[in-house]
Parts: sequence; C-alpha cells; structure tokens
Amino acid sequence: MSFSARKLFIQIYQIISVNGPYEFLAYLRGLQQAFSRFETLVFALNAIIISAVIYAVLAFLGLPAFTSFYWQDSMLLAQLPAIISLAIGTVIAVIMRRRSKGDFFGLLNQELSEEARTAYDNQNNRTVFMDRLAEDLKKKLAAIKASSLLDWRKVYLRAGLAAIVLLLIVVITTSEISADLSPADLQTFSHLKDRATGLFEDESQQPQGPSANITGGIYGKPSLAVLSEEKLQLQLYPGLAPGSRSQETEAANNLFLPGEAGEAAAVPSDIYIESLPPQNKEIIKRYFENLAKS
Amino acid sequence: MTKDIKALYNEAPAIFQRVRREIDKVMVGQNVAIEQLLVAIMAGGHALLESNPGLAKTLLVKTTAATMGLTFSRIQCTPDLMPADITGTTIIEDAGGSKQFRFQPGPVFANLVLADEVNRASPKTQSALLEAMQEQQVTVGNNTYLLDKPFFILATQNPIEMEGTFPLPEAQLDRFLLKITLDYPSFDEEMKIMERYTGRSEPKVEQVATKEDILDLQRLSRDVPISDDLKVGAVKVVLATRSWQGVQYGASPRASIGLINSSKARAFLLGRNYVSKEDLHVMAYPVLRHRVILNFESERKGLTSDQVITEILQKHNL
Repeated sequence: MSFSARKLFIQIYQIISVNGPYEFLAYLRGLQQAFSRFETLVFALNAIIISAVIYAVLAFLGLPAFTSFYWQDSMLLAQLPAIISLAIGTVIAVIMRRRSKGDFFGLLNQELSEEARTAYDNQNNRTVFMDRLAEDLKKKLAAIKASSLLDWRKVYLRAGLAAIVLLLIVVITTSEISADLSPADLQTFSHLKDRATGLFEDESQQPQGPSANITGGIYGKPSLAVLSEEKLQLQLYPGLAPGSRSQETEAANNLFLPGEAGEAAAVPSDIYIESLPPQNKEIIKRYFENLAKS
Repeated sequence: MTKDIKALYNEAPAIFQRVRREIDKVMVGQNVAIEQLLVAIMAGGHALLESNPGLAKTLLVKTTAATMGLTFSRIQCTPDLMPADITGTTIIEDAGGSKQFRFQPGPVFANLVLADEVNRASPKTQSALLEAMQEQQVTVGNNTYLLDKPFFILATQNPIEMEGTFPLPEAQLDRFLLKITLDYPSFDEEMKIMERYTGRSEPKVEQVATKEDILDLQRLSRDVPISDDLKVGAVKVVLATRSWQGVQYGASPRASIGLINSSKARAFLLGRNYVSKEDLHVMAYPVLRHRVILNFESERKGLTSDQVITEILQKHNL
C-alpha cells in the first residue's frame, strides 16, 4: 500500500470510527468539548467563590487563627477551616452544576438546535434525509466559533466576584476586625456536650464520697476538692480553659502540680487544699464557685 | 419503490407544490385543513372531516383525488344504508346460458373514499368500514378482497343536526388518524369564493401526480428523522391524556404512532429534513382531538378537547 493510500485509509477509518459516518459529528464534538471545558471553568469558579465566602466568614469569626495557633502541631487540624470551606464549596458547586443541567444544544438557535439534536440522535441511520441534514449541519456548524456560543460574561462575573472575596479574606486576616477566639469561647460547646452526655448517665454508677478512686476519669463526677473543711459540690469538666486539664492527662501524675498565682489547676485530692498558698485560697474559692455557677 | 430514492426526494417538493397549486385553484382558504388532509394521505391514514354544512368538505376531497390521479368514490350515508351497499355484493349473472356468481365491488373499492355524513349511517354499516379501514381488505361471504393501494377513507360529519344520528364509537374514531375541522371563511375569502363560483366557468383541476408517486412518497416520509426528545415528548403527551383531569378516555398507543407519523409527513410536506417541535405541536390537535373523550363534568363546563390538548402541550413544553 502506498503512503498516500495508507494515509487516506487511516483518515477514513478515523472518520468512521471516531466521528461516525457523518462529518458534522466532528464539528459537533469540537463544540461540545469547548462547552464542556467552559462548564468546568464555571464549576471551578463557583467552587472557589463559595469556598472563599465560607472561609471569609470563618476568618471573621477567628477560627483559622485559632486552629493554626492551638493545633499547630497537626497540619491537617491547623488548616481545618480551609479544608472544610473547600469541601463545602465543592459540594455546593457540584449540586449547582447538576441542577443547572448545562445543555450544549440549548446554546444553538432554535432551528439549529433541533437539527443538531435530530442528526445526533439519528447518526446511525443512513437515509436520504439524514444525508442532506448532515450536509446542511456540517456547513452550519463549521461556520460557528465555539467562543461565540459561550456566555463569557458568566466567567468574567465569577472571576471578578472571586477576586473580591479573596481580597476580603486578605483584609480580614490581616486586620483586627476578626473575632479573637480563645479556648474559653469553646468551653460553652464542651459544657453543652457534657451536659447532654450527663443526661444519659446512670446516677447509681457515679462514685459517691471521697473514697472514690481518683486515678480514673475525674471529669463529670463530683469533685473531691475541699475548701475550709467543707466538701465543694461541683464537678470538673475537660477542656482547654485554665482551671481544667485535658482528658489525656493522668490525674495521679499531677496531684501535687504547683500552681502559679492566678493560674490554679483543679486537682481532685483531699490534700489539695493543703497545698494551696494561703494568699490564693480566696481566689481559688471564687473560681470554683463561679465554675459551679456557670 | 418505483423510483430512485434520491430522485424522488429531489422531486418531492415540486410534486407537493403542484398538488397544492391545483387544490388552490378550487379551494379558497382552509389552508390548515388542506395541509392536514395532505398529511393524512402522506402518512397513509384516514381522516375525519368535521364542519358545518357548505364548507367544501366534499369538494376538497374530490379535488385532492383528481390532482393525484386517484380513483374516487362517494358514499352518502343514511340510516337505511346497508353494509353491502359499501362493500359490494355477489350477484348472479348469465354467462353463456349458465348462471354464475360474480362479485360486484362496492364504492369502498377506490383509492379515495368519501363517506359523507358518516354519523348518519347505522352502527352496522359504520362497522363495515372498520375492516376496510384497518385491514385494507373486504370480506364478502367466504371471499376476501384486497383494496387497491393507496386507500384512504375520508369521512365527514356535521357537528349540528345530531338528531337521528349514530355518533361513531370510540373504537372506530381511533381508526381515523386525524380529525380535521374546517372553519367558516373570512370576509375576503368569501368574496373570492363568490367571484370564483359565480362566473360562466368553474375552475378545473389537472392531475399532477400518480398513485405510484403517492405510494413512494408515503414510504419515503417514514424516513424523516426525529430526535429522541421529541419521541419522548410525544409519548408523554399521549400518556397524559389518559390521566388528565376531566378526561374520561385518553388516547391509545395508536395515537403515539399517529402523532409521530403525521409529524414526519408534515415535515416532509414542508420540505424539512427533520421533525421539529412545531410539527409535533401542530399535529397533536388533529391526532388527539377525537381520541380525548371528555367526561360529563368537563362537557358541562364547556371544555373542549382542543383546550385539554393545549393544556397538556403546555405542561410538556411542546
């Protein structure tokens, strides 16, 4: 087989195998691919805008600063607000894309749209009508530029919006307008969680009196703390706020933890009251009382 | 096919144009009715023409038959018309001194049969048309006779003077592909009619097509491509007629087939290479209006089948 004949054979094979028996399909596929790229771009911009808006709200609440400061040991946790924003933004953009159901044929004018749909659906029928329709369609589609079909305003508008929101994030993160979130602010959530858990706890299983084993979990149980020879009716809660300890800490190891002035650490022990400096007893008493009220 | 498909395809617009021109020599206005009658012929279906008296129903059918070179016969339906008066009967005749039976074909043995005021015939006679319409054959005694192709029954009925009539049963109505309604002409059209038919000579039509042409064009019209969206739309519309509020009986699957075939025929007649949404919309009325039977409540409210069809088409964006 000569070179030119082979080349011709390959071209015919490509037309038949890739684009079907009609040439208009090649033009149609080209336009469809351009439309698909355009839709992906719009989807990406939607995801960016929504994610950025969510992140801006979180930044305004001070959450990114909080996570990056307190959970700086873990990269994943430190960047949690950004990850959550991106995930929610992507999910919403996917839903928007599915609901909008971008239809390529809808971009063409009424007549051309009907012709293209019909020809596409009947591409495997070889009739005199299809031959003529395919011929007409080929001429019409060849004259169309993909860029002229697509509504680029959609992209420009979204790109502008994305730039504005990103700028807003920069302003929020670099200025003082965001809220200064501290672990104490999250205490309320922790408190709520423990109360909710406490509702389901069996009271009979709770240790009563000072004879209870203090080496186990001490949180959510009656305190053993004694003040002025009287047992205080309060409970300790896990959290990050001053005055409590993280749940992972072994209570027994910290029985005689020295506490500095103004930074009292609640330690469940009979001898706890003895270890306190006399000048700080009143402060600690008020702290526990406030803690009991909160 | 008697002709090369491509040649016939290329020739089709000229044939349609010539037929239309000849019909327009006789008919004034009634463009929709003419178009729908030609659609029925191209789709190979029967049509029911309904209008008040004097609106040229018979003239339209006769003219169409003449332009296409089709044999034409007319049956004036009356309550005492018998089935044999339509299908034909066996007679005894003398053949060289001996007697023998011979089948004398009735008026149904023609390409284009006009059953005038079909609702005046008795149900027995109306049902004699059933076999002819559906099977394109007639059985007399033990013999079955095939009807010549193409075969169309164009039945007319008046919506007034219903006393002493026998309304066609639903089963028989369903056998008509289209129900075509004719309206009164406008002032200008009536002036033209007056001028045309009050002179010394009346317009005459010429034969501009053959029945072979018609058969070939019928076959070709089935090849007009239609998109999947429109097929789905047509089926949805027909299904909707069955569950629509105020409808006692909806359209049968024959209506779905009829809607697609008549839309294809219309597209072909208008010189389009594909079925458009407009074809489906326009043909939905004549295809469905006699198949959508309203209940008493709807009739009491003055609702018409066409109004129900409009609502269904709107709902399905057609």
